Amino acid sequence: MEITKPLGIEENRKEYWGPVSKDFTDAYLDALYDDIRSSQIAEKRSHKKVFSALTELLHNVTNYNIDNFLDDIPPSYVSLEFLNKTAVLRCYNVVLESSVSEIQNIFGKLASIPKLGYDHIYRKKLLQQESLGLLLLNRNEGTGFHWEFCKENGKNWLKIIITVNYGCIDN
Amino acid sequence: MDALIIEPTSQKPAVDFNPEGKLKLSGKSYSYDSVAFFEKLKKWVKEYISSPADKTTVVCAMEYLNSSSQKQLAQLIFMLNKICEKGKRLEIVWKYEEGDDDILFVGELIDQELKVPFTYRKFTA
Repeated sequence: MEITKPLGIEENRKEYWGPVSKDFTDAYLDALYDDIRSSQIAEKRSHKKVFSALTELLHNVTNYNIDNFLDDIPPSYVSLEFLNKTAVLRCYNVVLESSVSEIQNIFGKLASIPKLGYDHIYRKKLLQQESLGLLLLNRNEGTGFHWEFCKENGKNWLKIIITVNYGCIDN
Repeated sequence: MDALIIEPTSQKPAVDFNPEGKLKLSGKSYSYDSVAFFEKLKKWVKEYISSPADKTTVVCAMEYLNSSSQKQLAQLIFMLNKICEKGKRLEIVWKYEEGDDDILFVGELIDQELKVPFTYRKFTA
C-alpha cells in the first residue's frame, strides 16, 4: 500500500494508487479515522459523516473488485481532500464492460428516490438485509454523489466523487 | 454456558455477553469482515436463547456502525426477541453520542420492529 501524501494542516490531500482490496480498505480506513478526527473539521458528527462516506464507498468498491477480479485486482485511484469546508472523496475504479449498464441502472434508481423516501426505503432494506451503503451515502445531510463512466486505454473507468459539506453541519 | 468476551479493536466493538442476561456491545464497527465478526455473536445468542435468563438486558453503546454492521446488529437483536415467546423479558438500552443522529436512527428502526422496552440514553464521549 502506498499512501503518497500525509494528511495535515498544510497538506490537505491523502492519495492512493493501487488495488482496492480488503486489506487496503481496512488499513486505509484505520489511518483515515484518526486523520479525520484530527483534521480541520470541528464537529464530531461531521467527522462521522465524512468517515461514513469513505467507508461505504470503499466497501462497495472492494466488494465489486473481489466479486469481479478475484486476486487480480487492477489499480484504482482513491483520495480524500479538504477544500473550503468540504471533504472531497474521489475513487476511480476499473469496471468490466458487462457491469456498466447495471451500475448505471443502480445509480439512476438511487438518484430518482425523493429525499423524503430514503428513510422508508432504508428501513425496508435494513429489515430485508439488503445492501444499504449507497442509500446511506445519499441519505446523509450535505452529501453530494457524482459519478461518470469514461474509457481510457481500452478500460472502462467508473469515477465517483463524493462531497461532504461539513460547513453546513458544523455551523 | 460461558460468557462471550471480546476485546475491542480499532474496527471491531467490545463484546460482553453474560449468560445471566447482561449483553453489552460498545465501540466502533466498520471492519470489512463485520459479517464474520457478528457470526460469532449470533452463534452465542443462538445457544443463549435456548435457555435464556428471566430478564435479558441488551446495552448497545456504539460510537460508529457502518451499514453492514447495522444490518448485522439488527439481525442479532431480532434473534434475541425470540426469548419473549418463551415468556422471558427483554429490554434494550440504546446509547448514542449526543448529536449522533445516525446511530439514533438505527435504534429507532430496530425499535419499530420490536414490542419490548427500548430506552434511549445520550452519552458524551
